[in-house]
Amino acid sequence: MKRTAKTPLIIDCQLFQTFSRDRGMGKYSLELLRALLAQSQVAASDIHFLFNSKAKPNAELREQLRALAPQAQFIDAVLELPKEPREEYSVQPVRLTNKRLLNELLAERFGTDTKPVFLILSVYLDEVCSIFPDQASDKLLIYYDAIPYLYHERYGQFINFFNHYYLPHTATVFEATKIMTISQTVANDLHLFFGIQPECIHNIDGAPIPRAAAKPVKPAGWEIPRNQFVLMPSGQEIRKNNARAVEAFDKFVSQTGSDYRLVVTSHFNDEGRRDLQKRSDKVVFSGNVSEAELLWLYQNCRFVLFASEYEGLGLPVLEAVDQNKLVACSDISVFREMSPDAFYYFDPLDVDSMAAVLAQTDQAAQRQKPPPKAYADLRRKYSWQRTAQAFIKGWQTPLVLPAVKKKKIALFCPDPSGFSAIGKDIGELHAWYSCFFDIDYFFDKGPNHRPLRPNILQYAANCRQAEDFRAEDYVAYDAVVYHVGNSEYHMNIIRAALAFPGYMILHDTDLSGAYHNLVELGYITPQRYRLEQRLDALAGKGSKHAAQSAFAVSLVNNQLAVVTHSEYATQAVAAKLLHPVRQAYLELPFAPPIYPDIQRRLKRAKVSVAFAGIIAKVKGIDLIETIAFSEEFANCQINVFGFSAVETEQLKKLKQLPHVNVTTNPTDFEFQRLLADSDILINVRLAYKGETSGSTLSHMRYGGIALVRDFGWFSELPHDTVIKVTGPEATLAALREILDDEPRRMRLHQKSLAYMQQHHSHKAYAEGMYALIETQPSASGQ
Amino acid sequence: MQDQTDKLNNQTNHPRALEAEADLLRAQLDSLKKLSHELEQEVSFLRRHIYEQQRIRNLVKNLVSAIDKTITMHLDKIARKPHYYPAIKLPETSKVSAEELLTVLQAADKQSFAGSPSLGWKLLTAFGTLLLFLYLEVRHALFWLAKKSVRGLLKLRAGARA
Repeated sequence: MKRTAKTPLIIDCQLFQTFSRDRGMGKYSLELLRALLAQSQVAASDIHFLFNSKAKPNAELREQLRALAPQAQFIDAVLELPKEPREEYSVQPVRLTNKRLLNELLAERFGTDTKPVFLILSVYLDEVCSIFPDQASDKLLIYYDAIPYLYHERYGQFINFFNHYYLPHTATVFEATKIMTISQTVANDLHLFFGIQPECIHNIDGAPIPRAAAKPVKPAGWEIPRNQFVLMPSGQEIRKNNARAVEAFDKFVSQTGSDYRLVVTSHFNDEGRRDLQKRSDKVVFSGNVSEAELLWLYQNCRFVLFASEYEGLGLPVLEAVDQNKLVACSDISVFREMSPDAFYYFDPLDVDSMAAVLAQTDQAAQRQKPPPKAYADLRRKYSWQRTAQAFIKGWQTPLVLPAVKKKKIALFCPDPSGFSAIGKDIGELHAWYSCFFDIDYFFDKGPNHRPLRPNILQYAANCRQAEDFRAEDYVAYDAVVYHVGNSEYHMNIIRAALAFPGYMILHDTDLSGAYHNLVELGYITPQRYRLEQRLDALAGKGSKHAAQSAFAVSLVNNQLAVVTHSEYATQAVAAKLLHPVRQAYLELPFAPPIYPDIQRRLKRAKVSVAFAGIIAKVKGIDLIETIAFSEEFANCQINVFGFSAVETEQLKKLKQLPHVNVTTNPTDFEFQRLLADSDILINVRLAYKGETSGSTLSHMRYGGIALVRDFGWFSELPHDTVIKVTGPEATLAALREILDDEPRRMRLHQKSLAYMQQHHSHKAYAEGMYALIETQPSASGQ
Repeated sequence: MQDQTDKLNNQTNHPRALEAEADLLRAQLDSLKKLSHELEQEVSFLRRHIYEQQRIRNLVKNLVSAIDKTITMHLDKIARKPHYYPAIKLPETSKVSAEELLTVLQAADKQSFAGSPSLGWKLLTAFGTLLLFLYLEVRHALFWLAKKSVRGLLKLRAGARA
């Protein structure tokens, strides 16, 4: 057995044994390693490159690494490879086997006392399966993007893509102690959609890949004159937004009468080519070109067009900067974070906006060079040396997470993959919850379950069905936590909460809908329903808060503690308590992005007014018609988005209104993007049932201005963070007022962002739950 | 060798030899026409046969789908009544306090969680299982019948042709 004095740094190089070595992430990793190994802090480490003997060998790369780090050692591990085809075989058993094999190998090589640092260059790979060993003291991961999860409706079409491949590997992401992201955008996504703690995320950016070919070469048979074409680096993917870009280009050339061609790079199949050629006869496909040819295209194009809907880093834009070319690109967060003013931005979903910006860029290309300072700043910011330094800084920053004795809990909530937003929000809490608790999740699917998104917790935690919970399970936990709301996704949760005392988080104070479902679905008898009604009438008699809840008496009185998210709900519960039950008030967690400044669009022709969440009459959608037809609000763009709960006819009518965009059933990513892009959110409900509005808080975390009705929980929001109105009739006047007062809009924007940062963090919520459970006797009384 | 070939060519170019060849070609043409007619008939039969096959398939599919819906509906109804909940007896006082009512309800809720499904539900489940079994058998029989019919048609046609 060999022992080393320094902490070994093991770099999992299996990425270079796959086809991905030639793709963006492979090239990124190699450049990063090159830059890292040139840094003295890394070069002086006890480096071990880990390769898999069963995977495709890469002798050339080994030689390169040997030259870069002559003192480094190589570990040839015998690790399992994923079985093909993916449709039939899950990678999960391979993950578990490889963990065991790696644990054994490292224990043998370094001894059980040595805790190495382990770096995985990429986790989502087809041909190999990387995993963190248990004994690693620091688990570092390079994270490129969350595109498959953000666009899960597209990737979900591949059979078992998520269950057999993406979700098992996502469990490795949850295991990492330090995640290095390639942009602030990716860091925000990890935090917003996976709930990963900001403490674990370190943005290291990236840089253009240095070209092996020093001299540009004109592609063979090229006929388009220099400066007479616009270069669009792309690929055949919906996310690349090719169709809109080509349409916009066609519009631009017909409006300006120019004879430019749009050169689209990368391979497109015949169908893809036909589809784009149908939209414009100006499009030219370069196919896959060599590095030297691509360099020629960059150097000789008029400007670069990049219309992608989403990018993790957007290397083509950096390459254009490298070649000192003007760039017309999408107004998306990854480019905003590069520079707010170096490029010509357009709305990627609006063809007219894109065509207008193309004309603008063309005019600029005629008379001026790119802004020298902005481009110089970009070259400085996006260099491999800076990336390596950011990596080292992230690696050496001590991870300060709460060091507590974890409690073993059973947590009941709606299934995170389903319709209920509560389940999804719990999924985003997992990273913080798991710092305090050892959790077994019990999910309630409800009678009409339809998967809306992949369940990110599937392999990251122990997941069971709420209906399978038995009395004998109860005694195995320090505490049982119930998330209770007023819908059919809480039936088995309520049934368990009525039988076993635990810690109940009450999301709605009016549970009449849930009780109605309990009878309808046969969980309780009509007699039990009537008796709960009778009990409700008897409990809290004389209290002015008695009417603030319904059907909650049995539930709250059977608990060890009840957690609520508003003063309103706290009072409602207190009024119905027939014996002492501990109450706690916690702010519903909706943490703002790590980098909030890049979430909102830079330029908007109109003020964007949103109606979000469930599209229903009770949410005050009648107002939309009034605003849409009013001349006073002609400067507003109305965005209506969410799950539709109105008649098809009414929805059709809504869609036909002027200045109104309706998006029904958006994905989580679309929903958050639309919320972040809205200036004012109108949430003037007709009725209140003790709930906390997730869409309002989500909007506020991006610094949005919420216009809410002054009742219930909405009343409790600080006056300087939202606009409160007494009812629907006062909404228009308040909207008019705020539209005319831009300084106030700016103040509200800053205040709401600061308020959300201070009060609605996931960490505070998890800490609050831990404090509550720690100070109580265990649920089972043991 | 060349001489022999020339001789043979002269022979085949003889008018009588050409006439014989023309007769042979005519006979071949007649035979091809006959074959073509038969093939047309065959194609027409196959078309009808495919149409019949599709018709039967659709018929079976629709029938199975209708049965599927009915069975699913019934099974759903059964599945939605899985839980045992006891009948509650309230204390025989005219006025029950909230605390007393809560105690009774809590006891019933606990009993419900621990208790087994009622006899009615058990019978319903048994009925459901029987229904499912019958359904699977009927489904199997329908497919068997459809297969038989198609094979029967094919045999019939083969017989007619023979």
